[in-house]
Amino acid sequence: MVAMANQTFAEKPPRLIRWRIWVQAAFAVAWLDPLGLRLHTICSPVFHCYACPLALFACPIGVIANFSALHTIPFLAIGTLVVVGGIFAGFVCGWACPFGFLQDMVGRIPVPKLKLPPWTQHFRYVVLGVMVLAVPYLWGEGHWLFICRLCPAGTLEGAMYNAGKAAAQGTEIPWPSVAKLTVFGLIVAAMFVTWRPWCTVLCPLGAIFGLFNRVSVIFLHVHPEDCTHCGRCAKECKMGLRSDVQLGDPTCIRCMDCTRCSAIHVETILKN
Amino acid sequence: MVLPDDGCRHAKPRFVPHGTRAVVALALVLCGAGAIVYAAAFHVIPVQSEPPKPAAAQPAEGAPEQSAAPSVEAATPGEAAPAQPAAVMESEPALVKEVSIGGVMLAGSGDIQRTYSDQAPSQCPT
Repeated sequence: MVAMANQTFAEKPPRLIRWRIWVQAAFAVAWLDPLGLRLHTICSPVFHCYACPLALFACPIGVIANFSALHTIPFLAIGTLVVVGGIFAGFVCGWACPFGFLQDMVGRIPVPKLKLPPWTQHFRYVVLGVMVLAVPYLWGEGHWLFICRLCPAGTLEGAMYNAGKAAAQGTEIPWPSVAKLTVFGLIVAAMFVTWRPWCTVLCPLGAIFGLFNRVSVIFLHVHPEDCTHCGRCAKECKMGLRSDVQLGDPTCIRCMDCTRCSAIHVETILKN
Repeated sequence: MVLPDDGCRHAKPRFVPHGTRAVVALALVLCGAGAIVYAAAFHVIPVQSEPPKPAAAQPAEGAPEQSAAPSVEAATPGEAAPAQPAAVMESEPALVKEVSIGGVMLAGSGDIQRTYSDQAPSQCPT
């Protein structure tokens, strides 16, 4: 009888899920501005530092933090995140974000993984409220807790690239701060021993998109009449979620691994 | 039939009703689109082009030349106060680009001020 319950869970991922890594790679190439357009008047919906010379768009978190420091409301960044979040929500994290792609690639290295306790996800909102909004508003962008001064994406995509370029050219190397390097080192180390540590614990952008998981246009839905409560989805979920009851959880990055179960589908508000 | 007991059987899925989800999602998308249109087409922010410079004081007849940094107190009565640079009204997309290169800051007076006068920085300093 247990075997009957397991028959609803496909051993081989559906075709769409197998394409996820290629979709992520394609987005990563796009964000790296292959055509050299440098459209920094537009906010992207993903975590990609605009200090990177290869950045196509402006980082929405950097824009929000800097506008908070300027005591101005960033309607462009907020509008972009609301539109994208309202349509896709966590799909952006699972399919489009280059920093999430990096974590997925590192996570594939066969090292035993730890599952972080669920309460750690709430720290993302502390990062959002303190480092992105409050610190810039109260103390400006020069404060050491200003998000951009500690951001690991900025270290990798901006600071390291520029340091390497200066070293190659023989000019003075602009080293990132010790705090920035420390945060980056800790995040990279954590990538080996747990899935998506930045996304789970610290990402302020994921914290925003996670809020849309329950109300987005495109969403994951479980059909209770088809669910046999075998618990396999909970074991397969890399974010530690019970897919049959937590599909709208703010931590869900919508990698769609749980759709290997025939009871879970991607649906839209257009379907009655 | 005995199913593995992992708590899933007893927890009920919490779904947003389909109609509510549709209304909320469309409302969010419309509000977001409206914010983008407002930011791109209407929202302008005053930016001081550069820090205000004190006006150079005119030396009185027969008096020795003043030093290179005249103080406000040394200005003769009736002379104009240090000229404030005109504020440039920048659109929000332009200001987004400026913050991406560290080109603006909040001055002590509360005004947004450009951090460079000649060539713009090539990238964010953080």
